[in-house]
Amino acid sequence: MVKIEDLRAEAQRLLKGGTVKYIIGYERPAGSWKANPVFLKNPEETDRLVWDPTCYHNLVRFLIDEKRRKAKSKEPDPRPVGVVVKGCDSRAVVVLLQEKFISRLDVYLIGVSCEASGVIDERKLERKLAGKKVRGVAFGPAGSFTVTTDDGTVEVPAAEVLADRCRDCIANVPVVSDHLLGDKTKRTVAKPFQAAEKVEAMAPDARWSFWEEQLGKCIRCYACRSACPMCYCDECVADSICYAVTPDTTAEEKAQKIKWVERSPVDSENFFYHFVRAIHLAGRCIDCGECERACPVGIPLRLLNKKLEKDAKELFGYDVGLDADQPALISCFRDDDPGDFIR
Amino acid sequence: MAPNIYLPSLARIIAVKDEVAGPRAIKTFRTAFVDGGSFAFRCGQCAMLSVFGTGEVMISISSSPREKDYLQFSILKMGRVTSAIHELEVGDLIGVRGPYGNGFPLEEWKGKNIIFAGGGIGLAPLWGLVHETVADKSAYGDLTLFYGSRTSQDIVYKEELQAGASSSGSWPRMFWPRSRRPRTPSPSLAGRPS
Amino acid sequence: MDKILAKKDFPQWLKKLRAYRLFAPRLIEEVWNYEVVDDPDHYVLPDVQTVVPVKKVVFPARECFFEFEETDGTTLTLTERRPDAPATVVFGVRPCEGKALTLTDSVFGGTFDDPYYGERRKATAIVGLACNTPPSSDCFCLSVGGAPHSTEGLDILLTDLGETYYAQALTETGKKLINEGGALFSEPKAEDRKTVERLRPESERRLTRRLENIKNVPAKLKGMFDAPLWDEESLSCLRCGICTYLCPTCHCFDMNDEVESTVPLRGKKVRTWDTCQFPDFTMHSSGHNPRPDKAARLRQRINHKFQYFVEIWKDYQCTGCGRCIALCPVGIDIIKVVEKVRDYGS
Repeated sequence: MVKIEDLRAEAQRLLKGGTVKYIIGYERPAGSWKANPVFLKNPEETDRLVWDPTCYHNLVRFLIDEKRRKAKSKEPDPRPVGVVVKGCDSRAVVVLLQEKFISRLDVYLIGVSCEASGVIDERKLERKLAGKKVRGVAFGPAGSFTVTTDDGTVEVPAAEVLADRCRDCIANVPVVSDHLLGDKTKRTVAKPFQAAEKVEAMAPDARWSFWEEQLGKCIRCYACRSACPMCYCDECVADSICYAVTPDTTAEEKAQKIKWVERSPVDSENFFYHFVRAIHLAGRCIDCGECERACPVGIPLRLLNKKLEKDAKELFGYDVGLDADQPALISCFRDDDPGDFIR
Repeated sequence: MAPNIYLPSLARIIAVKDEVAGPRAIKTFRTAFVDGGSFAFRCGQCAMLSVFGTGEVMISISSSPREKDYLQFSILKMGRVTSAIHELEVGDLIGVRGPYGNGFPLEEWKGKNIIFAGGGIGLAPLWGLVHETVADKSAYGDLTLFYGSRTSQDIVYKEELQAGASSSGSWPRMFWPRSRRPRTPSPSLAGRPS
Repeated sequence: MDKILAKKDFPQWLKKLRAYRLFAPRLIEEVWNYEVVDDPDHYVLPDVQTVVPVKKVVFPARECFFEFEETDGTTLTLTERRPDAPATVVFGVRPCEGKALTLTDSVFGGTFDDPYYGERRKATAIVGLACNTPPSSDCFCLSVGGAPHSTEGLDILLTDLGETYYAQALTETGKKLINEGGALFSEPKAEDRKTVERLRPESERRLTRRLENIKNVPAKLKGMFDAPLWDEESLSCLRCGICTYLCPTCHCFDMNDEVESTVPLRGKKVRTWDTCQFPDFTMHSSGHNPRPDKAARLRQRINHKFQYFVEIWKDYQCTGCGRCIALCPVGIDIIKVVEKVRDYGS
């Protein structure tokens, strides 16, 4: 079990010693049963840190903000940023290291293991406890969550409210960390790419109709992209008209920028945006599930990304985000890579 | 049917003048509505100019409201739409909708001295105002124009400014990049806010 | 005029209104949204808050303004595309969304009358459903000049009395819709009126969240442009568009040319939703961005809703629906931010 006192003590040690600039962790604001990201600078505030099954956010995403902040700063603080990372989050760090987006010295990773279960899907829990007001969720005895409502506490079997991505999890213990808390037992998953099978089972026509229906809901709020730690491009293919303009960009350069996709949330543009983003995540997506969680209209984005993660494993024998010393999948090749498309 | 504020009126470009060449190119365009209509506006207001297929930009109207035959726009080539506008020639069509903005409250300046201050392309929004006050000179006090720019090449309306500088009468007293010696402020200006 | 409609007769009423395009909340894969009712026989009006508010009916996420086409090489033809706005009725609209429509009505009407919004709005009747209990745990309509039984912006207000709906016609359109229900509607009894009177204050008491004493907030915001508060509160913001896209009062939009053919030139001028929370919302062509970071954009959102809008329209541009709180992926809470503004410096 991760002892919250150990997490807070480590945070305090880092902040008091000035080892890190600040720590990105989880807190639960008063009156809320769900955790939120918190940015702590003050060693007196480490009691705000929590660790519970509502800590589903991928905090690694905020390293993008940190890098941009540093780039704008005249005298950037060279100290690392402390980040609380779950297993999935640590895989995101691995990918960012592989791509040299950050260096190992930019982060101090406080790893927390999800141990026997994982994090919850808030919507599943709210549906299960229809009407009852949730006050808090804690890791319960093996395979369950202890949920506190106005009526008291109840043990909910993890399987009923577990976030879908935890079912496919291949890294319940962080794969990289500077300080590791919790049970280090690796959990094996019988079918790591279960989510992808739903899509694969469909014939092409059915698959097209399925995505037409799902992506028809998209309002192009770009929450999926904003929540993803791997979507760090300053200029995204979906916004190529506006981004990355500086006072030195010439009028010709601006005039020649190609608009790859229209803003209209219509089928053609929604398909383009989502499928291109998925392809840009091939070999990079570690299935933290944040895109799907953030989506306000319930598009099952994990199905897309999981398929690509599965392809990376099956076609290239590549495990995404497990080994920072491995090169990024799309930046290297091996002689025995599949080549049957070459005729 | 209520008028559609989003539908531009078609106008034809009747004149194009190169004001500034180079990387910060400025061109002045004069447009006349295709249907012969006119456009009531106040000094300092702007219009949305459309290059169909590229986009729309908000450009200040630099002609005076007294000018009924055309609207004048001076445009600095900065990005997508302004680059597309710079490609346009006499006879080409452009969309105009407006006017937008509050304009200058000229009525409040009657009898007062007025100082116009602008830099580079920034003279364009003031230009209609300058002409308007010059045309109605007796309604106002002393008129002065301070005009600056990055380099002496980056100024607009050079010929008119030149003509104005050498004219007497209504034209504002000018401080602008062409003068070689600093001009002595007139006694009427020294120490008194306008 | 006040009438009673038995809940079991609600599908019959829908059928009598088959000449209209009917929208009502429907659950599609765990998400509630206003969708066209194509099966009125089995429709049951739920007591929920939709994800996308009713603004989508009068201010859709995408609409075509006009088409442009080059003909003969020198002529350009502009063809207006006024909206296809059939007579529409939206059911199940919560009072906060009705109030929000009055705010967007002010913005899109007035000096710059938006004919696209205007035509859709004129063609759309809003049948509200009073909130006997708050449909969201983050509702706070009372704190921003609204109420769970407010009639603002509505043509009819339905109140759930258990087995029946108490229907109040608030406009001529509302009366017309009720009359089209004919004998399905009956006169309310004295006890029905008593129940409604009891439910009103009860529904107000049931709201769990409050944003109190904010009268000084508009004035206070004026002096807070450089407050470090904005930086602190926006640290976890993802700068996605959820809070603004799903806000019933937010109405910023973008206009773009969608080109179908370059030679000859043919295309459409299209309006889409936009948000001040996207980094390039205020990006100038010169590369300068007056709102360059999340702090500036959060400051803008709060100021727009609690200062600028108040100055122009004398009302908060927030009707307390709580969507931005419930759906923000990182839990940024507008109630808490405004409370911090209210208490700033004290």
